Amino acid sequence: MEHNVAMQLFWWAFLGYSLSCLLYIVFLVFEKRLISTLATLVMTLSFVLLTAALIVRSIIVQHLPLTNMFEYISLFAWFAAIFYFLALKMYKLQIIGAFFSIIIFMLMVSGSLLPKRMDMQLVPALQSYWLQIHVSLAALGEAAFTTAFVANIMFFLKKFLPQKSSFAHRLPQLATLDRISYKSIKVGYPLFTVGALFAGAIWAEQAWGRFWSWDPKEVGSLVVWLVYTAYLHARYVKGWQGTRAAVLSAIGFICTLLTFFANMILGGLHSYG
Amino acid sequence: MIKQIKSLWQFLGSIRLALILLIVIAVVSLIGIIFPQNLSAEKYLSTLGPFWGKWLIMLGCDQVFSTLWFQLLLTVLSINVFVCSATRFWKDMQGAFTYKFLSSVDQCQKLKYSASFSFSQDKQRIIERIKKYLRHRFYTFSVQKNDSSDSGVEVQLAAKKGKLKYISSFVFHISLILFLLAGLINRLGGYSYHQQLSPGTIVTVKDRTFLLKCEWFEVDKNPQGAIRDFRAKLVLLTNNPDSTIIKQKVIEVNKPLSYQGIRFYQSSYGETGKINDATVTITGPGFASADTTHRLALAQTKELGKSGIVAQMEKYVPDFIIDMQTKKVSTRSLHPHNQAVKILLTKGQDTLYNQWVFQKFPNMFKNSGNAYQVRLNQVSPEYYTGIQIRKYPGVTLIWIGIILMTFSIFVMFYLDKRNLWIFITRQDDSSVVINLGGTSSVRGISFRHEFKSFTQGLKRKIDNG
Repeated sequence: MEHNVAMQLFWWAFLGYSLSCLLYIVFLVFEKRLISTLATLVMTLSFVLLTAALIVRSIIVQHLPLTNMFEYISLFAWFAAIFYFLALKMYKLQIIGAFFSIIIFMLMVSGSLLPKRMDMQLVPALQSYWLQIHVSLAALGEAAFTTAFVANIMFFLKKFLPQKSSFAHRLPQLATLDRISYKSIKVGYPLFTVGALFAGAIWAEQAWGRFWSWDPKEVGSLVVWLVYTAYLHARYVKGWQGTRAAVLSAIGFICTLLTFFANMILGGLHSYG
Repeated sequence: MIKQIKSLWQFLGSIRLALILLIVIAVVSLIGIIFPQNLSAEKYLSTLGPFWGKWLIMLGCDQVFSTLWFQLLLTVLSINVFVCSATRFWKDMQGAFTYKFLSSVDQCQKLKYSASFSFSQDKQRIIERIKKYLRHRFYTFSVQKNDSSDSGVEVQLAAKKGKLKYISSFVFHISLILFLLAGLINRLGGYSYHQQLSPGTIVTVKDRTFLLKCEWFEVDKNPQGAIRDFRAKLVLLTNNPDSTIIKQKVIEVNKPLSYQGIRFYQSSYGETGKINDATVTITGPGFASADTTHRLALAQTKELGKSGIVAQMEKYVPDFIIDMQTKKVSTRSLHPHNQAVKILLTKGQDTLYNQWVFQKFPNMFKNSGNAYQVRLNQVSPEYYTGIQIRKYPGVTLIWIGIILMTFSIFVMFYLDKRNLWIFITRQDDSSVVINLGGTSSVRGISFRHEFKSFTQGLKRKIDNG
């Protein structure tokens, strides 16, 4: 019964995110402030429902919901929503919310397609406090990268849409989008480095005896880290901004998605479900 | 010659080379993800076809991370990081510990954050109070005196905060070098191997004089039958007739045993093909209905209640097979696919029952005419524990690298470099004018707040002492 409650909350949250995304798309077309306000309200409600779903799931399984792909992507979507609220508060641009909602909706769709079993019994390797540290920090870092990706999408649209396009006019300035991307990566990079790489390596050493095994998931995380390291170096030292920086940042996020799906397809030490 | 060396040095430490290396290593690593690594050649050839499979193996894409060219890439990256760090080190140190002064008050007033105010106090006292306040706000500073014929001696203080940020980049790069160095040391001087141990077994440990013994091993399952944990008690013994215990620990996954640079990890377990005991149900004359289930240990006799009957489990096989010609019983495998035990029941000198009993086929000999029937209910398998034994001499470097890189990342991203310049000038009317200007390495409101609070605090300090 409790399993049903947790899943019902998830499905209601999914419905809410879908509706919010739809409302934002309508807003993008018709530019009505009322629609964007409604979309934000629905997004908020969906966030509360997803929070409740995660809490109930945690109570049922007696550990934080971090142990399989479905739980991870739910957490990822949850963190992405937090960044959505932060972006709205800092920049007060509903159009940012619109693009965010599309990404969050896609994350929820991915989650909805995954097996949703509840692992009541953690396998011995997962019985460590590093599980909470490693997975949650990695998800938080990746949610920050998602924010950068949202800014990159808007950047490319602003840059490559015809100048006379009214939609392009509604988008923030290129410099603003570039700055959002950079700041998001500045937040995400330390979290990802410490959470995904270091915490993961320390835990791997305790569990399997090796800091690094060239496991597909580990290598995927390394690829993401290398791309964002290149981005930061290019920005700090070579002064890269604008299109080049946006391309590199977008590549980093695509690598993030690749890492996630590689785990599912290719197996390896991280293939817990 | 020197010019060439200098050019080479610059190239090796260049950001362009760094960017190229980072992207190339990322792309190569992607190959290592897309193509499963370390499979057999036949597997690649059958999956990718003879042409692509052959090329994949020839280019080393079947074991990307072990190839010479990948190691070479990492080596060049290490050199690049080292040269870049060495080149920037002096500049970073200078940035951290030297103070840049402004050329004039005008320059100070043109800074994004600036303020000015005047006091009618003794200039020297004001300067002392300013210094005290800067220290209170954790700024370090240097003082310069400029002679100005128009307005008297002008004193300039250049202050800064966030010095760690200057060296954080250097520390970050050094930690990267430590990781790569640790990897090299582990590769050259470390080892790793898997050791299976049944309870009671003693083995030698590579490179060491002590012995390793598995005292016991157990598998812990929850009521639903899922594995909750598996653990073994390991004992390290001296390799002499005394066999003194050096160290012992119950190890589980995530909780290894460490000794003399060697770590013993609870890695896996399996069934040895033997059993500890079996539970059987025996019916027949002399057995009360309530007293039919018995636990028998292998090769040990057991008197069964008041019946006077003695039972013995003579043999056990996990996967029964019999040679029909020689009638020899053996096991097809170590897996419990067809478990069978040979039970002997005797009473005094009489043999009442002596047959193989199959867990999967309980009714095999039901109609054989024997008064006694034995059913094999379950067996308690004997497990072996799989211990991963590792020696990694580079571990300390890795830990140092992790700590340094974590520290440097947070300093780089979350600490500001802040600079303040304070001009103190005595006017003709004996008042002292203070011009204050500041910059920060990051945009945003945080330095605006700090500058405002600093200015207000400084005024109060000068007024009140």
